[in-house]
Amino acid sequence: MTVLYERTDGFVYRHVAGEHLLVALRRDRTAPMFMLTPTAGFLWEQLARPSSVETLAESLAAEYEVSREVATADVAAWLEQLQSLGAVAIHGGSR
Amino acid sequence: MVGPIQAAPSTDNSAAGWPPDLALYHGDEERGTRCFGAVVSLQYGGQTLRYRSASPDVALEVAGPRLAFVVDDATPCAAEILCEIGPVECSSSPLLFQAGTSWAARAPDALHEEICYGPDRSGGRGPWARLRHDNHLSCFEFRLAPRERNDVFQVGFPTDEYIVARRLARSNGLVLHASSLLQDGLAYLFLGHSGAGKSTTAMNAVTVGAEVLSDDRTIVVMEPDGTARAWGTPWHGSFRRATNASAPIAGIFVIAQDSSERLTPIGPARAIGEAFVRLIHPTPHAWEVELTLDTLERLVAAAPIAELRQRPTAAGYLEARRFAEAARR
Repeated sequence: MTVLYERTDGFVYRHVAGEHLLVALRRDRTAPMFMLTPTAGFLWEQLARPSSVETLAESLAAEYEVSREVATADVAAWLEQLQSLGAVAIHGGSR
Repeated sequence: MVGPIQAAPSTDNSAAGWPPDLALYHGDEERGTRCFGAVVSLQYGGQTLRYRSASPDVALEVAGPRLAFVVDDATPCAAEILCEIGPVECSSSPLLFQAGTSWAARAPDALHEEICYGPDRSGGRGPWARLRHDNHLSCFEFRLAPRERNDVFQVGFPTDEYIVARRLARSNGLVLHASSLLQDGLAYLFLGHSGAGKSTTAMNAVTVGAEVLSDDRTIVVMEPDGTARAWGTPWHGSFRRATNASAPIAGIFVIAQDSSERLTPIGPARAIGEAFVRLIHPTPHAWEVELTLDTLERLVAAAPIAELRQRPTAAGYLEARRFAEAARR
């Protein structure tokens, strides 16, 4: 079964002055705001709907000049980071 | 190629993090206390709060720097707060926000929110106060647990700052952990967590002619013409100075202690991050955070922002003024 990922409702995203900001709604943490690279910002926008690693990697490879293999590995690592922050969860899974 | 997620850079000027301490207000012997009977109105940043006693046996009292913020009861008010003394029970409904052990916000039903303050300051287990309000932030009920004296209700802490911060978040404003200084009709803000030197900056600036709007917490309101305006507040720091006045903001400075003065302009995205982590009071709803970010975006576009490393003298303040003046040209 394909695993789908989705944004949680614990963060808001802003594109300000060329920077991609991810802001934690509950600021009971030492780092309530994160800066994303442009490609990470692109992936965040793709996560407007639940998406698989494969779908995200396909979008990334289509948008930027990168192989599917590299894109897949980057997307997987990025999703792992965002999951550890609580910004992304498995669609339909427990958070 | 995606790259790591990085925490937004922030000037490390204190070991303190979120949430900020809810420092208890102890009154100000120099400026005294005044009893107002059944009704008293206070105005902060253009927001008028009207406190009413729920009982004819309980008189409302205002103390210290808050006295400078009392306005005529005929002033149209933004919010009314009914004050009563009695047993405090809090709901166990879904949690909206937990601020350490200081307080927690919950939603007892779809139309109301409740802030429960506790545990009891005297060592008891129960909450010591409860604030209930409607979703429009206009009707409030504040209940204080019985104490030694139950015929006097000192208004202000902890309700006024919370109500004003929540209301401002919805109306182009915010409250920053910043001291603010007024000179020649312009306001200069010095952002920092506890211990960064906000009160010290204010104390030193007074020696070169500045007036203190606040030495700890400043209200910022974005006006329709794009002007960022700073307002004084009575929520003071160790310098205990507050002025009920406002002025357009000439510059905002993130302060840090150092062995010499160094001023470094910072870009809009980092400026938003620096200000965001120094906001007073969390907004428990995503849409309020979105509005606050809107306000911050307009604020950093309207006023120059820089990091100011400084010694505990007036030199940093003078350097900040020179920077703001150059930015205006």
